[in-house]
Amino acid sequence: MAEMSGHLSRRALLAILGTGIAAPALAQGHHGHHGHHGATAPASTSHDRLATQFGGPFSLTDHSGKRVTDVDYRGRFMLVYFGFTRCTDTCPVDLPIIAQALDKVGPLADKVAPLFVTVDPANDTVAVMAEYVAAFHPKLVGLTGSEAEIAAVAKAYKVHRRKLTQHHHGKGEYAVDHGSLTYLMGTEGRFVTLLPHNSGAERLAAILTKYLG
Amino acid sequence: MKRTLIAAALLAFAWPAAAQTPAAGKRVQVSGEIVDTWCAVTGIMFGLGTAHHQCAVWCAVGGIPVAIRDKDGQFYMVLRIENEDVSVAAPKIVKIQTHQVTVDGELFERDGVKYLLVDKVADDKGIVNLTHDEHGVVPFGE
Repeated sequence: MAEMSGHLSRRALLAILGTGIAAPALAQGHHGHHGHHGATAPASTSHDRLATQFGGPFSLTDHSGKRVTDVDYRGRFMLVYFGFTRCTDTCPVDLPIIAQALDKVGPLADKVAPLFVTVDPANDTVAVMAEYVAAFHPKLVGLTGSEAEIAAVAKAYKVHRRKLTQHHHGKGEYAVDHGSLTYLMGTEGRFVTLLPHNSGAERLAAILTKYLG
Repeated sequence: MKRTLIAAALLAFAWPAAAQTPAAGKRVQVSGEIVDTWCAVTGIMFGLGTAHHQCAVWCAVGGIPVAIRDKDGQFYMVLRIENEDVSVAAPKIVKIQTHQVTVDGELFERDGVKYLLVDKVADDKGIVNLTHDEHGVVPFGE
């Protein structure tokens, strides 16, 4: 994992900005609008490159200590989010959104496996993950693994992760910057859609209902 | 005010019929400023130009996706740039934060969000949106 140091991290910045601001997602709501200002669309392509950008096989350990692979979740959708248990900004925002969305969709939640994959396997052991995911939702599955296993799954999902030590960190303390997208994968493990950070529970629930319903 | 407008846009959002078949992308050329989506879209602060450059770099490095904002305020989230294939937060996109660029790529509209896979940065005019005189340096200060 890359390391860096700096004067002010994004999480410190966000803390400064306050946590009470509801930040909506990047919804533009311009369906059917083909005359993009600033963009021209002269032709279409015959394949979906977006669908092949994210996802792939993984072999990890869930928060109960059981070894799992992506194949174990076939037949259900996977809602995949990367983070770490010591995260102080993106994870505490996005994981409650996932939890609330699961509650909002009711029985449809049985069709999806919400997966929280750590980007910090050195700290996020099985026991740590078990306690952490239980704080958010009973269906949330924590996944950890060796550094190599986590590096592989992060690469498959194009997830950036960077170990960050700053002047205010004590000995052995650090943070991990990481990607903040939430991925919805289909019942065969293929990419379906994604959501930007802090998209909101209503929006996620609507997307889950759209695809799972 | 921006947040109110965006919330209104969300409320007006019409979900298309249920479908698992994703739409293919289309070839586009997009011109605009490379921005940090968190700050620029939410209106959480003034998130454009030199006033916000430092913050934009930090957000990008920290995992917040980068977008191109065109002259009409449309946002195109960049999921890949040129041959950078390791992560969404590629060094190449971080290095051109706040730049005025024209890119060629493939556009996908998925669940109300415009995503770009950038094949080529066709033009890079550098940082031309000089906003710090009016807005200061946000949120870090001088």
